[in-house]
Amino acid sequence: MASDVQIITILIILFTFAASLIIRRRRPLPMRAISAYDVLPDLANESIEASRPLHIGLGGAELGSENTMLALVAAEAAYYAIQPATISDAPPIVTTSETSTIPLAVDTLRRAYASRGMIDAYRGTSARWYPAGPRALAYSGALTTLPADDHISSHVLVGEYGVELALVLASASRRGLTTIATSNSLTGQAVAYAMADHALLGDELFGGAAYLGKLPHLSNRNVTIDLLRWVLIVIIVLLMAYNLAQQFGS
Amino acid sequence: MRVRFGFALYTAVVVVFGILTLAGLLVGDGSAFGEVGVLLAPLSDISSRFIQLVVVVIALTLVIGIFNLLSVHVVRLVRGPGTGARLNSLVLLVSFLLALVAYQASTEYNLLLENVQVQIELALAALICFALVYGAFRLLRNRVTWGGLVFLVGMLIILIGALPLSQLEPLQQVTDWLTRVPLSAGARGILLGIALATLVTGVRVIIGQDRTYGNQSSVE
Repeated sequence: MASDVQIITILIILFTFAASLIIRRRRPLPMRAISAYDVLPDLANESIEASRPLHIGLGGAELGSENTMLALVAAEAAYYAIQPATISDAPPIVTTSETSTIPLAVDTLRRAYASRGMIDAYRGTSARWYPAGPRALAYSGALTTLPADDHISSHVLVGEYGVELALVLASASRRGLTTIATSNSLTGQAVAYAMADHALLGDELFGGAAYLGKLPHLSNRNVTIDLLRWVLIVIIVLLMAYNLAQQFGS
Repeated sequence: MRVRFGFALYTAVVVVFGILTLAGLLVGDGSAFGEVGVLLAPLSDISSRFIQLVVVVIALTLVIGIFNLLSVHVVRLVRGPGTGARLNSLVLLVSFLLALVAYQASTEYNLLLENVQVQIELALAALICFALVYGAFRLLRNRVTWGGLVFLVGMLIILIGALPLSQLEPLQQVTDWLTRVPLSAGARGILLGIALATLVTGVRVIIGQDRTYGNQSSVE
């Protein structure tokens, strides 16, 4: 017989499949305000007006690991951040510390320029790999040089970061740069919450497309996540009630 | 909606490879499914082949990385926005060449890595402490919110409670409770949220509903 874990996993995936196929909204969905997504278009405008590049860091998010989805949604957020900034004299810079994410970063930049009909303005060197080194400190060290060397206008740090995020955010704060930060790790999120101007917490990064894309169908993912969340809450409450009933019954 | 052939091809490849790999990983060797398992077992072999392919491709991206690193810094050295940028790129390129030479000279003892990079990274690690203190100070200076206050008070209680002083025993009990109950619950909540979002995104990518590739983004 299949193990309990196998059965539960298959059931969850089947449920998610069904929910993803059924939920198809055609009208915009009211969503709560998230300051990072409110301010992101302004950062692109700031970059254009100041002729200074916008920096988007994908951190340690990599393809081919448990962080694959994080890398994809980080690239998705990067796409919407870069798209308006492509008309700037200073092209946006995308950095990553994982080599597997370089093709993703290059494709994100290329798509953003192509969507504006400006593929000729695209430069391959705008996607950069900074090796992470042990504990990702080399990557953070490299990011602290960007404000002085490339005169970036702001940092959008979406991806996998740990406590080393503090170095980048402290350096950005000293130079008065606006920062948006998030991470899939709890340490990175705590640092982002304390030090970034706008932090994305928990699964907020995964809902970015609906906020930034402004198209009704993009909110389907958010609706599915919310539905699963409620199902999980109901299951937890039911299991808790069952356990309590067992305790008081015996 | 007009659908381009290339885009449809990308989607078809993602859907077919995604579903086969997922099915293979879930089924395993098929033994858990009794008699039906014999029919399902080949799926596991197929998914293993796909994963091996991915591992090889990812290993090759290291070459792309080195090429990217060199091209970015050669361009910056020639057309850099300022002297500082050019100097940093020059240092990186010279270090790259020196590392290659040093590795050729002695493959066992990595002089530059052990005497330069590790030391610099240790110094950066020490600086993180100051950056965090600066962050805590900035949290209150910029915006005094209820969330910020709770964050700061919690952090202070845990930091003080971690001090090895017998007089602080009552506070250490509070710290233990904070770590075991509210912090653990909050952390689990955040991690569950991320796990659910990852699962939903993965499934939607596999069935072709979220497309973060090709010339369109997240099109249905």
